[in-house]
Amino acid sequence: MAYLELIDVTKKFGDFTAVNNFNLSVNEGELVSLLGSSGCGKTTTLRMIAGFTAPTSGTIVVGGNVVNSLPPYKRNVGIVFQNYALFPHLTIFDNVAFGLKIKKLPKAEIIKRVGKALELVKLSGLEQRLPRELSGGQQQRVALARALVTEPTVLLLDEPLSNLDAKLRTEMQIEIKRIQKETGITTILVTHDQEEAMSLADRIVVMKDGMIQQEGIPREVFERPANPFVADFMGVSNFFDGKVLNVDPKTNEAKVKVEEQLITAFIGQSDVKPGDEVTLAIRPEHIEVNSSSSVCNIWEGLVYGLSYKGSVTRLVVKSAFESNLNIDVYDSKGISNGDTIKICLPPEKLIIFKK
Amino acid sequence: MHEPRDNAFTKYIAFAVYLFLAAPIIIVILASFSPTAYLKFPPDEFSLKWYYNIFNANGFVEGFKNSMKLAVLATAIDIVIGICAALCITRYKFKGKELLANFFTSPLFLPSITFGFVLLQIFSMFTGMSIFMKLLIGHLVIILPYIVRNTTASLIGFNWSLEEAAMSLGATPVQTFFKVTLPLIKPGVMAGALLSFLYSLDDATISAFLTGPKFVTLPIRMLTYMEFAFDPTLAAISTLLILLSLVCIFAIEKLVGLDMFLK
Repeated sequence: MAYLELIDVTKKFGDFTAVNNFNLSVNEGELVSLLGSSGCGKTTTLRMIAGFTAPTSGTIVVGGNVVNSLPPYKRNVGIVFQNYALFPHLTIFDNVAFGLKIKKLPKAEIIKRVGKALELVKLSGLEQRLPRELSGGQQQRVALARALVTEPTVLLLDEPLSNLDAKLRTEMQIEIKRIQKETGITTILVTHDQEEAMSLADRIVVMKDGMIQQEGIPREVFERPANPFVADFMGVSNFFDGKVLNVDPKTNEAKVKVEEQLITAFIGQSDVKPGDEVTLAIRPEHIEVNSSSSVCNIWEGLVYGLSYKGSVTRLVVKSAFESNLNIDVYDSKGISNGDTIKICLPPEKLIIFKK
Repeated sequence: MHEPRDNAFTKYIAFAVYLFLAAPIIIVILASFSPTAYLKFPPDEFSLKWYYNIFNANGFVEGFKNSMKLAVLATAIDIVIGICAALCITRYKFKGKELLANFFTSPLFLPSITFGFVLLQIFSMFTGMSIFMKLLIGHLVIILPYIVRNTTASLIGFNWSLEEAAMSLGATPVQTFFKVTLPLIKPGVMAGALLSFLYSLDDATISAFLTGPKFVTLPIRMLTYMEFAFDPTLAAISTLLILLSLVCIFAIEKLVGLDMFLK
């Protein structure tokens, strides 16, 4: 049963359509991530759920009630902002207690619930500090505690981790996931970081120009992107435009002509026919270098650029194709700029998009 | 670390500037304690007789009360108007926003003598209006820029997410204003209010045009006194006014800090 529903939601700012006929239903306790680059409408969608901005048309339903006309202070939605938005003049205790004091709860109850919330985010003992005396990660936890303490119907996270450094971000991802599961709260996470979306979300909604590009569990979106845009967003960085020459139904393979070259690719669920214009795509880590595989599309390439990234090394390779290939290898020993290498595009790793 | 510049020349310059600023004040203070009707330097005797004279001479206490009444009321009303204006021009994006911001500060750039004259013209059309009302309206206009400017300054770069956070936690717009926005802009508002209050207390130009026998402010009373007598009574009043300003500044410093003035 859907707990949070957006039905045909559209938001226009003048002539600009920020969110276009958006439909989403989120189950109770589910964590759904809206993923997209800036300006894709993800934050606008979040703000409409919070009530900060009203949809031009469409319906927003929370827990069976249409909330379209409710002001934000009557929606009981918890929200964590990118900049944390802690009240700088209030102590940590008063920040977390803010919503409870507004609700005029008895003092003992407030103390109890603030204590529990701070315990949940592992910040007990910092009650009397001011926000500016806390680190970014701690401030983020306070913001989370403040949003959760009023027991909201929905938790909204607006780029909650983008102001943190890489190590802390990973730590907070695990924390947020734990807290979300512990409280069982229905959560919408807005992010532009595909890694963050994948590690946190039960379901990912990829957005572009106010429209949903793909919706699915992280693995599905990662492994079977619905179109080149989603693929690009999920880190696929090699694309080839071509034309299908023939399809072999037995092996489920298609021969695709790309710039005078022939590439063999598995077609998977796609229903491509000979003559179709298609885009082939492959992840940088799926291109094999100097492999001995025989079922491969093999070319020679010239290493043109090389950047060591720790766990992988990114190679930029000039080959028979117009655009350079991006290849991630785990072991770059023995490869240097200017080397000629053998590259292989495994047919089963190629993703095929019909145009 | 950056070493503070310790240069004899700059020290002399600084000293000269301070002396230039402080000398007249020091002379006024010394004169107020002089027993003679003219200033003798250095004074050979100490006397409080000009201070007694403030309370004996006609109209000074009355004038001070009137000035306070006017300054307190005008400042209080302008705090409300000024905060609304500042919130409006910082929070919203709309056409003519810059124009409106300039409009609110325009009384600063208009010579007050012109403004006083214009007010006199306009008020002559409303015969029933009391002098106090006329003065109040005049002062409301001339002191508003100080509150609007200082409040606007404290709202530039204001994190509006704070208001949204408060509202998402159940606070109504009014609760949000009093619990979040106002406490955060208070230093700016107070700084502006202090400047406004002192300006209103001290204004003679506008008041000179609008005043009448039934309602005389302290600066006007001092001007009229000077026409007939030139003794250190005015120096004594000036000394007390300097003291009042200092008290105000210290009170604000204690309440909200004076960082606002240093920005």
